[in-house]
Amino acid sequence: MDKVRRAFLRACINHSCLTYDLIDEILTPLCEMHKVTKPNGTEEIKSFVAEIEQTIKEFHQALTFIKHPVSGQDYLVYYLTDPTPDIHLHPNLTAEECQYFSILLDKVANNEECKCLWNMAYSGIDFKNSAKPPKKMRMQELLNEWIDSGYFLEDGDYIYLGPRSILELEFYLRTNYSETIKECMLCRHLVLWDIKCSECDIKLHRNCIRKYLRTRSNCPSCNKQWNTRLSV
Amino acid sequence: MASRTRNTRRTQNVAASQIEDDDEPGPSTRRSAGRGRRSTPQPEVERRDEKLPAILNYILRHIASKVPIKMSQLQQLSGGNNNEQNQRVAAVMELLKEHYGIELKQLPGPGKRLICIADSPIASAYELTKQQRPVYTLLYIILTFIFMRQNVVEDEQLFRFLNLMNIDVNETHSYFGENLKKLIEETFVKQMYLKRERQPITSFSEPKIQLSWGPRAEAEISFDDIIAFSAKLFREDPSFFDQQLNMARRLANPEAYTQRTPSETSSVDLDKDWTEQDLDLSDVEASQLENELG
Repeated sequence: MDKVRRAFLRACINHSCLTYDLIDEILTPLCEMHKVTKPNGTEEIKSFVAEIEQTIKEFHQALTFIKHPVSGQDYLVYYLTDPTPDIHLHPNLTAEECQYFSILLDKVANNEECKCLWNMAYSGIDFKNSAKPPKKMRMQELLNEWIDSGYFLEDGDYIYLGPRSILELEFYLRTNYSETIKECMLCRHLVLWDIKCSECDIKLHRNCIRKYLRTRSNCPSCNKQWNTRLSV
Repeated sequence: MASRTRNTRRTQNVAASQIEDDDEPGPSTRRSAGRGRRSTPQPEVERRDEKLPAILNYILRHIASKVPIKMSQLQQLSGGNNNEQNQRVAAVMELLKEHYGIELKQLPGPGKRLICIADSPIASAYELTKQQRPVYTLLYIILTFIFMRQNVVEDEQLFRFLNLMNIDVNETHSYFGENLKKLIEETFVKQMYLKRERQPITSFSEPKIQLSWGPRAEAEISFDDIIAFSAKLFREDPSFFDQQLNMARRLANPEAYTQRTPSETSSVDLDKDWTEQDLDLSDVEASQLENELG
């Protein structure tokens, strides 16, 4: 089983963001190849992943399940818990391509709704007189890669911050985009979309306010009657 | 999957002892470190050393690109004196092997470059990303062709063969994508999957480029994997390639096969034996081939 754990960890590092379907597609042939019983169902997979996470924690890495509020889908995300500023300095990327990541992050995170129109991800990008700005085709290629690896998320016509950015860049987002990105006053984690109070406009996690309203009927911030519908 | 024994033929395991036996010209700290060991033994680098995660994460970030890692970069990240650097890099190698099943192997030649090799091959193409799948399918096709040709082909022969499969390296392919020539001649070569050598020019011949399996291909892909893939590619039973398998094993381990007859060394003439109709690869078939990568 150790070989399966290590191979699965390598696949997680390679993908960086995995849906339950992909986890199953990876584990089925992997367990068959190594002749071990495949972890079945959400609980078994979660405990299988937790065992792996224990072995990588000390290297400032984590494997965490997160439900993305926009897509409503669960993802398993491999990320670094101490991202340094050069975290995106991938050996395959030029300095300008790394800069493109920062510009895109700025565009999305500075927006009140933390989203950016798909076509705006390529237009009006200022590389500050850089000698070799990436071409539009390359930008599209990069954005697709970053969507696949969970840094961004595509939904309809918009680009949102992806599950990996929310987890890995939490501190960076909290510090640099405090105008648009707040923490949920109920759980203290970042809240980017989810639900707003109709009276004071405070953003809260849908699940957090749902739990809170089981025993109360007022907004935790303005204390007025909660009027926003909880279901999507 | 089992026969990976030959894979270490050209690559060498970098063990802690080898790193300490650094023969690179450099500052004479080695002597002083040796003196240090004799008088007061250096404590081993703690597994909780704060530098280890930085080195380890640096290596992991470079794995997807498959570009060789320079030992000097790891030593720079490690900081400290030569002895500490060597101990830290050796400790990281142990951790990579223990927790990630990744071995660092030193490439032949100067400059101390390392490649990362997994302790078991991928079980399915699902372990690869959407972008990686067509790239590795093409790589397997190329490595298979080279394998069938006793591990050396001219680039023109390869391109002709790919043409038979409806893959024109100068044009965008609907499944394999664009810039295929650059992918083959630059990326696969940088990644050490292919070795590209210029044949010596004579007054009678044009300059020719030869392609063969690179050290990463040798370390990462077993002959059995390639035979299984060939069987799908050429729509034949795996036993059809027994001759190639024996020949490849003989090339990999010449001492064990000294008494064989010369006729066994003949290779299948791919250009002659297969026609365009046999090999023409539709997009659907190409994407099905990626399932054979595991």
